[in-house]
Parts: sequence; C-alpha cells; structure tokens
Amino acid sequence: MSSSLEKNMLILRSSDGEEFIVPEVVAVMSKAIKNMVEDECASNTIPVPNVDANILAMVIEFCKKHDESEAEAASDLKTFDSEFVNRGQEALYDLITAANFRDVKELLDALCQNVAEMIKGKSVHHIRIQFLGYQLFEILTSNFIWNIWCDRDFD
Amino acid sequence: MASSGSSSPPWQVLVLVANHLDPKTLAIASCVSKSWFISMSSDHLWQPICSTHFPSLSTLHFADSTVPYHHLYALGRISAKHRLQKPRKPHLSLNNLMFTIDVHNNNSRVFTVLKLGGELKTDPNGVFRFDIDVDGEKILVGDDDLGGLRLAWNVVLEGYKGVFTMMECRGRGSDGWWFSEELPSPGCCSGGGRRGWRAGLRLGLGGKGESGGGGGSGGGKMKVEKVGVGVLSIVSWRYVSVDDVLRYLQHFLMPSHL
Repeated sequence: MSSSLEKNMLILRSSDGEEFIVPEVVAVMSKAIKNMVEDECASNTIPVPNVDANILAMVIEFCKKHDESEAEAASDLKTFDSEFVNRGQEALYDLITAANFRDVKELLDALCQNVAEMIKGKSVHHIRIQFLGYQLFEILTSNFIWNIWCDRDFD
Repeated sequence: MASSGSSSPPWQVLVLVANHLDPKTLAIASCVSKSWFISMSSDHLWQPICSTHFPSLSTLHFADSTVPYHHLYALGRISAKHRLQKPRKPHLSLNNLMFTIDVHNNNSRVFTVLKLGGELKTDPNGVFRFDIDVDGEKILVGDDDLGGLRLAWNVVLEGYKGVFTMMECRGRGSDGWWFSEELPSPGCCSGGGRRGWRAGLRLGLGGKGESGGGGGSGGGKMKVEKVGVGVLSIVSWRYVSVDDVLRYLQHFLMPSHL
C-alpha cells in the first residue's frame, strides 16, 4: 500500500466534507499541516476544520502556484498574487482566517497587505463607507487625546 | 442589498491586517468604530512603534503600566508638534497701519511724515526696518539744531482705531540715530522673546542745503532726505522680523484678537 502516490500525496478534507488530493510539498506550505505530517499524526486524510471547500480550493491554488513557480520569475508570481487577492471582502476575510489558522505565511501576508492597501490613505469617513457600509457601528467617544490627534493630523 | 460588498472584517482579521499598517493609518483606522479601535490599539502593536519613535516615552509604560502605548505615542506626537510649532501669522498686517513721524526743533515743527503701511518698501530680509523718503527740499537741519530735536514715531491702526507710540525722545542722538527706551512688555507669556526691544530712528541727512553753501562753517544746514525707522533687539543688535513686530503691535492695537 505504501506506493509513491501515497507517500507524496495527501488528502485534505474541508469542513463541509469535500476531499482534495494535494501533493505533500504543496500541503506542507501550511505550517499547521507540516507539523502534523512531521509528527506523523497525519493519517491519509487530513481534516481541515473551519475551512470550507470553496476557500480550501483557493488556498490550494495559491500554494500550488507558489510551489510550481519557485524557479519562475518573481515578477510573474507577483502578478499572480495581486490577481489572486483581488476578491470580494467576504472571500478575503475567509481566506485570511483560513491562512492564519492553517499558518500559510505567504498567503496571509499577501492578503493582509491587500486589505491594508484598501485602508491606507483614506479618511475615517471613507473607511467607514468602504468597510461598514450601512452596518451599525459604535463610535468611540472616550479616547480624547487619540481623537484629537487623528483629527489634527489626518482628517 | 445596497450594502453588499462592504462588511466589517471580523476582529481576528482586523488584528492580522493591523500588523501591516503604519502608525498614521492605524490611528485613523482606530477612529472608525469601537471594534476597530480595540483591534488597532493593542500594546502588542504599539509597543514597538512607540519604542522606535519615542524611546524615552515608552519607558513611561514601566512607571504606569495602565497607560497604553498608543496613548504614549499620541502624546509624543503632540508634544513634538508643539515644539516645532511656529507662531501664528499675525492678524495685523502692514496694510492696516500708518506711520507718523514727527520732528520738532525746540517748539517749532521741522517736519511731519505720514506714511501708509501698504506703501512701505519691505526689507528683503523680512525685518522690521523701513526707509521713508522725505521730500526734503525745504527741510533743513543745522548741526546746532540737533541738540534741541524732539522726535516721535507713532504707529496708527487704520481708521484711527488705535495708536502705539514707538518712540518719543529728544536730544542729539548719536551719529544720526535715536533710540527709544526699551519697548513695554506685552505682559503675556508669548512675549518671552520680545524682551529688550527698542525702536530706532535715523535721519538721513543729505548734502548741505543752499543756504549754508556760502558759509562753509558748522552753521550750514543739511537736507533731511530720508527717515529710517525700525525695531531692534538690544540683545543681538539686530532688526526684529516684521511678523514678530506685528504680533507685538497686535497686542496693543487689537487686544480683542488675543
């Protein structure tokens, strides 16, 4: 049974039960999975709780590309990354949560940097429009110095 | 739904994104809402920022650990700003002023000059020093007269709404110069730099007038061609900047603006 396929491939099971067959080198880009594999507590199938099939597919796509293109030009990878992170906010948040939980550093950095760019250079008002929309939120009134400082310098 | 596409990131995501923000953006983002503030203001984020920018302030945290680092950073920013802050532009401008210079010899008037501030030639170095031309054909001062001169320089606020006497002195002066007593202190803390100011006045005496031409002795009279006025600091013996003097005059001429 210990074929080469079994040795080099891992099966990841998403929270909603879908299974993905992934080369080990790709799967271990997740530190969490790497630790499991190294500790040999990984059976054939590795459950990935809290990450649904949709998001897991995206994470795998990212890792595969980064694995394949290690030799490729860095600029190609950059283009891929910037296209990869160009998604709706909900998907971004789910991906960030998954990347953090599974400890995929490259993905986490690329995603967080993308959200950071969406915040940078905007006023408080514009951030509220972009990220809160029509949601209700609680405004901070207590932190006097902080608010003065923000108003004076930046608004 | 109209708001589709915009939803606040969960706090875990905010905390992760916060690691990628600079202090300025963090400060703005923390004003967005209470939950953003909680995610963007943790000591974990701000301790390294505060230690880098304000190492001496970050040690305050050891004295009182209840003071958050973001607060110390804000204090550091504010105090750094105050240090760099330049005094505000004066409300008063030269255009609002009028200079009058009056010279008497004993009890007879030698001449009076009235000059609108807007017509003054400003010094290229921005100091409060002006040369005022005098139509001096008929204004003659003899060397003997100098001892009996009385000079007055007043600054009048437009519409005669206020007046400040820069100088009022008598005597022969020295080398064509007359100086006022030390100008009064404006009596407020912002006057710190103004101590030791004096107004100075110089008569620009030209060649001898015709009446003295024949005599050639000390009795010859000289034309007054120019009057120079200015404000000097007696500490450095330098002219004071226009803005500093305007701020000073503002205190006396426009007290309601303080």
